Amino acid sequence: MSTIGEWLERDESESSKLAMAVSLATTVEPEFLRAARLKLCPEIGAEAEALVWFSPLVATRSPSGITFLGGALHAIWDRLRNDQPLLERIHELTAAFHANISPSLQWEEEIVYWALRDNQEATAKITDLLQTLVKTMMVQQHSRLATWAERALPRFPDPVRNDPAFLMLAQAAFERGGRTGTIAGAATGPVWLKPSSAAMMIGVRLFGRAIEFSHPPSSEAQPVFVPSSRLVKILVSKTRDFAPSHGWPRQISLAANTTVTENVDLESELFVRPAGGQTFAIAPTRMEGRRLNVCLLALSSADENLATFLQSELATDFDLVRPNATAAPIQIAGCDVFLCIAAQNPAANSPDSRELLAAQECRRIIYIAPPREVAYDIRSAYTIVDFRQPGEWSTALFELKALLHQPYSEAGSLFGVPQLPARYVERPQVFAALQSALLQVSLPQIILEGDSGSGRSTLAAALARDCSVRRRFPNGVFWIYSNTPTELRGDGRLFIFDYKAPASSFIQPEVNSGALYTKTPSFSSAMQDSIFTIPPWSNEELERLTNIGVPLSIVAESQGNPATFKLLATSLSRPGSKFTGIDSVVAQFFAEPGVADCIRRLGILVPDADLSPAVYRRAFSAQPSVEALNLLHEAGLITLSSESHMVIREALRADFRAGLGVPPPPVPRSV
Amino acid sequence: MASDFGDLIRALCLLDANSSAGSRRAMAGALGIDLLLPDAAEKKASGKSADVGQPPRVPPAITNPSPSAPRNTIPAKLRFLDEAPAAQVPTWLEGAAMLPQPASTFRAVPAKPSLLTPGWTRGVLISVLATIFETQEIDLPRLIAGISSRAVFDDLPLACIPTLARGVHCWIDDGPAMEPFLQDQRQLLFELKKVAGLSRVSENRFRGFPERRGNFLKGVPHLILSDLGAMRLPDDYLPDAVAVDAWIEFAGWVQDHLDSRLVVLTPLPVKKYPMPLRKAAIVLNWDRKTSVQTARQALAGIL
Repeated sequence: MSTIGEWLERDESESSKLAMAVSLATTVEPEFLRAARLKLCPEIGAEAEALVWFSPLVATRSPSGITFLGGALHAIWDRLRNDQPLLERIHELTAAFHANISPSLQWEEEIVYWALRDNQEATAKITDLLQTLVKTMMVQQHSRLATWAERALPRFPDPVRNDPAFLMLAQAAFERGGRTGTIAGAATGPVWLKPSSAAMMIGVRLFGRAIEFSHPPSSEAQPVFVPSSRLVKILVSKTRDFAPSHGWPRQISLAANTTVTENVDLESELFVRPAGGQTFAIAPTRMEGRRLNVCLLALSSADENLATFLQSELATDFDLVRPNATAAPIQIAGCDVFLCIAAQNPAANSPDSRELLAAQECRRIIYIAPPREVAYDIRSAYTIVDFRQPGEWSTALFELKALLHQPYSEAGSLFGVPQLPARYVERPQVFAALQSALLQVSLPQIILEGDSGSGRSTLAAALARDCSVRRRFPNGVFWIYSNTPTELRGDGRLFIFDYKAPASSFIQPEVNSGALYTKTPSFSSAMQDSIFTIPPWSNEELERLTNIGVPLSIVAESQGNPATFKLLATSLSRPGSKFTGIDSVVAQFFAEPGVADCIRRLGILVPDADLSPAVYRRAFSAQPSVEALNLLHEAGLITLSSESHMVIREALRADFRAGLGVPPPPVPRSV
Repeated sequence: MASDFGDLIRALCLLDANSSAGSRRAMAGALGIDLLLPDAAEKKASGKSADVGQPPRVPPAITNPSPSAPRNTIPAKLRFLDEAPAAQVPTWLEGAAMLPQPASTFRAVPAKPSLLTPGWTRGVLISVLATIFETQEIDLPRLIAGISSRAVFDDLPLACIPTLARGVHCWIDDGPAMEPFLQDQRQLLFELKKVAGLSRVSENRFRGFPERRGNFLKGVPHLILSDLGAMRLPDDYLPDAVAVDAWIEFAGWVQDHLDSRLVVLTPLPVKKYPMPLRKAAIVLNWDRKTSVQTARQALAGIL
């Protein structure tokens, strides 16, 4: 007998009676537990409350209430189904006590009640209640109800699960929330259940042993359209029906402007289903064999003999690919090793973006020194095999094969690391100093300090993408937002905290792990000497910023530091630039109804420039809400901090709409 | 090492971040920091560049491919799948009702009914916590009885009444076992302050076992709202290990040193506690069945 069964059978102090009395409630508050005991089983003592509270039936426990495990509820409901008069009394009390909770939770309790009822009317009533939920989800388009469904649906008793509307509800919830709640078929819903929001593009590609999703799509990635959202939920499965089995399907969340990599075993075709998007399959073209996939790039066109020699000799041991110049970039995505026959003189090499791409992606590159080369001082950071003497090619080939067979430390994957700005300005000295610290100290813990807008997060993102840093932390570079659920442990990992980390986030790095804080954490007193202060932008660097046309919007966060803001504004306010007429723009901007309130509530600092009256009027006059801020952000006119992204995501929910007096979005045409 | 770490970063930045590994190690060494060696692969590559003109080294023996070697695959393209066949919107959807809008964004539930019977709370508290106090009124019945029996009075007998004028030291258990009764503790403290007066109730919180440090007045009773560590908690809790003997000793200390008594209100049945503890302290079941009568019975058992 299970633990739950044993507990119910033992019935210490008749506590199982009390558990039954509160079993219709979604959350059992201490108040409800007391009321149920006094009203439905007054003969039971106060001890029973504690016995239920600390029983093995409980899934979550907090001072505000407990929730029961799904298995426990089913065991209790089996008993309750046989006592219809008691069920009526429990329902009456539960409905009265929970009259002012969220309607979705009331509906959940009501559905369970009807599922336990033993009469003809019950089936129709359940269908009616489920259809109400489907309709609400279709019309309101927000994901809060989907979050509720993810928790509630798997717990419903069988009479509910057998209803046709149940699967539709699960499918609609998946399209909005991206989770199936272990319900078979939830990820295979019809088109009309999808949300009708605008589309945006994400990128997908297989990368090493992983599948990678990126927003915006990274180079080489295949574009996929999904509903526009700050957080895209994606399901990856080995089967087309996305049936739950042995850890599959995997559930992935892709935040805006980030890249997410999920390690998968690429034995077969993978099926991918973005919430609200279309299902697609991504198939590895090489599925059999376990040989290394070697990509041969002959950059020096004069050495065709060597290329032919290598091609014939390596083909027996490796899967060799020699893409021609017109091959699509995607064809090199899966290469394990790149062999580049490269001349010392760059002018003698054919320009090949694939080599640069491989280097940028931190892939394994072995350079082949072809004949006529006299020095090896090019690319000394990479491994070079000497094929200069045609008479010793067999020896060199042996060395090359040995190198190819050697275990190799791959660069760590990036988890949630934001993309670099399109117009990124390097600061080599600052970068090199931090890179040295990360690479050479055994347990690096660094606090990056600097004025708002000085580029701490951008510098951290650049460091996270640096190949030497990624090889130093082969188990991944993790970008931690304030609410990222991440296990902050593990060997060989780098954690980058891009928010003011509370003391509870403090980690003592394990072997070969590190931590980088882009905002001074609350426990900084313990690390006073690990603070690295980013120097202010020099005039020369500001000039470079101006030359590449970086708009003032990059310092949207710098309003906390008027000096930096003013410096940039002065530097960028050239005749003819779009930063003129600042005062009038700001005045008009804040005069718009709802804008000031919206900004105050979100805590978002909007630059007092770069907003031509036409732009902000179009954005804000139509809909004075946070969505307008999104519009401006997507238009590249303002920059929002990572915290602001999270706040916006939360704020887009219905209660915020209500708070601003914004009407709900229009009803989709299909309904 | 941490004390010099920032200096190292600053030194690397200010002097020359691109200097050789040897220089960096030397700089770190001067600050007492032991740096990791450079990456072996890089070292090998740079070492090879120095060997220009030398014959190729003897290659290492070829081993089997490492099982950890990544097995990459090349996606030709994505294959979009057909959507589910049921593409028709069901007819019921148009006529289906909508969920009502929430009346409030806050979750509101009725107040928690008290553990003690509401009308009896005051009586129970007075019964167990009151101390005997002399009033300024003459105890006429005793005086008449004395005079009738020709007794000699040096002082006029004054009337004595039970009162909470001395106040109460209230101890609230903050342990996990009392989590379901947090509101009850607050409620009872509120009631106690109403009965005894705000200034006469000192609120003390404890976890596991009360500390004896503090300004305790003699003769003031101590009220403990706790399970005294008797509740069985799930394995994932760290229980506050408290022996019954410790509570018996605490009750004895209150009685001997503070000339007072220890009253325990516990949500568990009294019979769960051993007899020595029930004799050393007044242990009352904190539940609806507890009345003034049961409180007095408990009091009589100890005094």
